[in-house]
Amino acid sequence: MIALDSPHIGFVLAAYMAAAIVIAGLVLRAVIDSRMRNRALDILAARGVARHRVPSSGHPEGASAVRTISDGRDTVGSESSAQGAGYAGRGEGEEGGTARSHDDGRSDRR
Amino acid sequence: MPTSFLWGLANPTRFMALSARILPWMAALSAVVTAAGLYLALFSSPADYQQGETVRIMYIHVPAAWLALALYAIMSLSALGTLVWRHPLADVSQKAAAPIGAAFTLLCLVTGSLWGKPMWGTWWVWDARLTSVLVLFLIYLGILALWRAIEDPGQAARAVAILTLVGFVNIPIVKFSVDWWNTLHQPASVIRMDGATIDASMLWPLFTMAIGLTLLALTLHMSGMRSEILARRARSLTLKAADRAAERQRPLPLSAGSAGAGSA
Repeated sequence: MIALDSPHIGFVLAAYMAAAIVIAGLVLRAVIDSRMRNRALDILAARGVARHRVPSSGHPEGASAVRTISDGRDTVGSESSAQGAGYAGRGEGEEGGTARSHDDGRSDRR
Repeated sequence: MPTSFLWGLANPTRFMALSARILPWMAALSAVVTAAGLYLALFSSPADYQQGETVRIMYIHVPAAWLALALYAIMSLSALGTLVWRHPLADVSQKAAAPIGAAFTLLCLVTGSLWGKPMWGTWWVWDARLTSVLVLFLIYLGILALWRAIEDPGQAARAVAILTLVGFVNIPIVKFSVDWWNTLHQPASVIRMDGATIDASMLWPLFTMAIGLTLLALTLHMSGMRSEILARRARSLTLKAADRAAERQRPLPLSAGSAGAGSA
């Protein structure tokens, strides 16, 4: 058991405090980041851009596989646009992903 | 087959579905194992006969150091995935791992310093191990800065992948610095060819903490990947909406007939 009357106990407590701060910061950042991303997508969906989050069966919303309902067509988010999520930033194709067909699942990103 | 499994995850939707199922379990498991590790580290393990209570800092410092290196190794594998195999999620993995690795490297440096002051009598010495870990931290910061500096995720991924692979040269330097140079930092006492030199009463708390923090890091990594995928989706949808708006505002070209009628 840790002896609180040890001469160097301050260093030990400071180390554990630093660990708690760093880990809490990482966890908090992950939670806030995830909420912000989901909110951004919800705002886009509300504007009617493309996406409505539909929880897949058995999974709570937010932690679900995301289905996308786009322009009346029901396309599973990034399923058809294979790399839609991974390379959505390219702004190409359906849901912004690289819409090229990748039969082998590989992405030609050039 | 691990390769086919990785390619199976190349589809982000499949990854999102799988990670959504795994993530709560991993988070719970990491919390339980870390709590058990903390109990062993603070209440069950004895004080060291030389270091006294300060040995308990090792239960954070050593796993943090291992994770700093392990996360860099994950980033390097992901960099290969980006440049060589062009795995669609490789750069997502790389981007998600960088801040976690940087945080654990910082924790390693801070806790090492807090151990060094009572044991060595100094917060910092420029010996090979400490300096190479500081360099690792700076590389992490450089990678994070590069991600922010280049707007296009594809271009950023390639630039970061190259920087990551160049920075990997520092990893063996960190590991073997205590063998190659005469350092104040002690040589390896756990991962050695001839077995650990630590007593079992201290080894078990160390391993438990290491497993708990590793699970936590993997959970955070997976969560970070999910966030990055959603961020890219949002970005692409915003660009698509902007394209559509521009398309709508573009004036329609006049037909030849109507132009003629207008001029008549």
